[in-house]
Amino acid sequence: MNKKKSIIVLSVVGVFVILMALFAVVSFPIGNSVYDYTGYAKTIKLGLDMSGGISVVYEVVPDEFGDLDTRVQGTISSLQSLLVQKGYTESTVTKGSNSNGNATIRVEVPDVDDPERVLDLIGRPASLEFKGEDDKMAENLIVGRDHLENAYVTTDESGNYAVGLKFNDAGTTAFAKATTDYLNKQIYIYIDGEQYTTVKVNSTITNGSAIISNSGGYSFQDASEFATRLQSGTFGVELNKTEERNISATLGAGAIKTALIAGIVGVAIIFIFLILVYRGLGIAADIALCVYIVLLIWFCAVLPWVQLTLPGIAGILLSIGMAVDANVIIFERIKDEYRHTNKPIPTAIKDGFKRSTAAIIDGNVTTLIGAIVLWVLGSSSIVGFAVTLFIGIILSMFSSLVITRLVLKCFMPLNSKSEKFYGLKRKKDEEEPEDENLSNISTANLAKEEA
Amino acid sequence: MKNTGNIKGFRNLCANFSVNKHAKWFGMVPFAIIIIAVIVIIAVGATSGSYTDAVGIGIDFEGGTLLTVTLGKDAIDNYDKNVKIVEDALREEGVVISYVQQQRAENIDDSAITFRYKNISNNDTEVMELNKKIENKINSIYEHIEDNARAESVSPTAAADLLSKAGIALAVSVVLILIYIIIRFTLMSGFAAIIALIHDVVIMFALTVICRVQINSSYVAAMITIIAYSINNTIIIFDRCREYLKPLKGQRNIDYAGIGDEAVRATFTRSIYTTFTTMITVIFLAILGGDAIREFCVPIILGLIAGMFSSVCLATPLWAAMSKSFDKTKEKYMKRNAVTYDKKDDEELSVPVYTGSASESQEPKKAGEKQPKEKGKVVYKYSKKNTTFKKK
Repeated sequence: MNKKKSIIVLSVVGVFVILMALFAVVSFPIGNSVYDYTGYAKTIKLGLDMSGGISVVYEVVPDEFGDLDTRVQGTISSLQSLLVQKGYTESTVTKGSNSNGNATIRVEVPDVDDPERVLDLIGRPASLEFKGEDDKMAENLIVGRDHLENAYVTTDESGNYAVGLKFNDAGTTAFAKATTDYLNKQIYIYIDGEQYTTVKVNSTITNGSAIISNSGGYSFQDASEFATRLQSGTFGVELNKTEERNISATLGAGAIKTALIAGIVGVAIIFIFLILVYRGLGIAADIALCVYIVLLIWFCAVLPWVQLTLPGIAGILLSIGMAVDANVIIFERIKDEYRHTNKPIPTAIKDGFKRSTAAIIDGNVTTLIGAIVLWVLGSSSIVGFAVTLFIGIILSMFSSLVITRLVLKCFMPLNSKSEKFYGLKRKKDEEEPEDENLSNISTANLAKEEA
Repeated sequence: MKNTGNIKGFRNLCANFSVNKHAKWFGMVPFAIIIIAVIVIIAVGATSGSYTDAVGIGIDFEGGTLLTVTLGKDAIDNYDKNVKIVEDALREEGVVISYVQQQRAENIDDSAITFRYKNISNNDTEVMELNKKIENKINSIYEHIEDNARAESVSPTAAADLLSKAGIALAVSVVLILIYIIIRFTLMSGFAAIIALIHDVVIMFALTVICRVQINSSYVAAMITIIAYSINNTIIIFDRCREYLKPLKGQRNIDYAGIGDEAVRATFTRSIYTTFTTMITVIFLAILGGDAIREFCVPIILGLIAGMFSSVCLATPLWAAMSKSFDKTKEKYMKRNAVTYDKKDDEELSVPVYTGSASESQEPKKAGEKQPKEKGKVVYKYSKKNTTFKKK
């Protein structure tokens, strides 16, 4: 790499960081359209503890089917999984009871202001019926709360979006009968007694799972809405909305600001610390950390499942610490390499990276294993946390092994000789413990032999 | 970096420091913490009569009561003042408030402040009586608004299976991580790392009890971070051990304790720096944040220290002791099966053979005895002709 090229690369990295940082916080209207651009950092979803949200209370309408408690529990888990599917991993669904002695279900969705939005998410809990004729009074072939287990967005064989249906045991039998009787005919879907849509039966389905596809394919939005409507018809109980309020953050209004200030101050101290200890190498690490931080914020904003709560933020702060850690490991190695051999600075840096890569990858992979397992096996809020941890680790490896290396490579043509700039020192012939870094006193002997 | 006298002294101390020599003392620290935690549990459990209280299971897992105080416009305009009034009233009744929320309704008259608190007992009638009493009390405070306080019991907000799922996830990750470490390192590295990990889980839990932090779903997540961070630390040290062991492959009587000390020393700067950089942001969060945030951050800070402690002071001596006894057992087994065997090194074998359960305290004692007393610094040297790990 020559001087010109490295200046170009460094400028590209610098411009990238500055632009990413700018787009994170600045909002502006987009010309010639009704849409506004909102800084992506502001679109990061926050948990109930940081930002509050909406609380909706439903009263469970008592009925005569018996075993209400179990069905209320079932409804609560359906609601919960519906919200997690939509990315609101930090929402809570709790059971309570009101003054009439009826059971209530309280749904709290974080980071939402408009109650209508909650209804978009969990649908309007309603009755769902499949009928053979276009008549409100016709016999029900399928009743949502008795037969349907789940409805979800999937793709059909041609790759278009479709709605998948999963029936329970009773539903499988009923649906098999219905699809035999109404093969190549229309089935009418009624929600709350109103016709919602019609579906044509193409084949007899006996295994209890089916997909509804559109000839031209559904748009994702349509399929998602359809699935939500169907799913909210699977609730085992009838719900009546009794209360709807905006709720404030459980940690108080200043929580966000505090976390932000702590983060900024902490990161600033880390940056200064790295430059003081590692000088030129520290500057490279700081640049890599900037890339890490803007990418992390961007991922948190665009990925669903990420809803930042206090532990989530603590997790991010820790992952910044871990990203620094990878750099520290590399730099200590570079110092070792330079101290105990007569390699020139570029070679020492190259070898330092080479010898620390295994340690960094092994350390991160073990953490990654934990994050993936939590992602797969964990429930609601743990999933969101696992995703944050996962992104943090991947980005930390990327920033230390790729960006730091790239930036240091760019430094080489500009300055490859100054010990002072890189904070490197050769070992003196005589052993003088006071001149040595505390980590290297005895490795000296090992490294010397190896060289 | 400037070399002041103090730093010099500290450096010399670090340079000669042997974790293996002091492993006995290090081993006692976690036990002391666990004993304190047990005492706290028993003390709190005995006085309050509820052991879930002693462990500090939070409202997320236990459920409790939601008290809605409808104050209309006053709930928004004089929020802080009203919160204080109700909080004081609730404290008089002896309930522990988990959190307070403001509720803004579309119709301003319906705006309210809600207080969540844990139930005092598992007895439903007792809870109902207390809630009734609290309702009346609050109603009498705000006489001008009719029927403004409403207490309703709420179920746990966290899914009941959150803890069990987290437990299963933890168990599965332990197995997978173990397999990974065994593949990449050695069998004994895997076991030592896992023991250190289990230590972290237990210590985090003990610290939680001692700090009286309520275990909520959010806290579970924080614990996982600490554990992840600690295993990462352990691996970095084991990576050095692996590197030092490479030229010694197939040798007998490897001085694992010496290699372990060497690895700890080589990574010591990094361990200190990393603990500093990871902790600094959380420390600021604790300083700047309110009580709730501080309550959450303090165990994290302690956990980070515990995590580093387990990686540096426990995992390495454990690895050394276990690897040594593993080699011994293997050798003994080979000897039994071999017809002829090189007897040259047999006098070395007369040292006690450690079984798989060798405690960490035995091994370092031996290493300590061998240590030439007048020489503070131990230098290990590879010889090119005969690459055994010898003491100079």
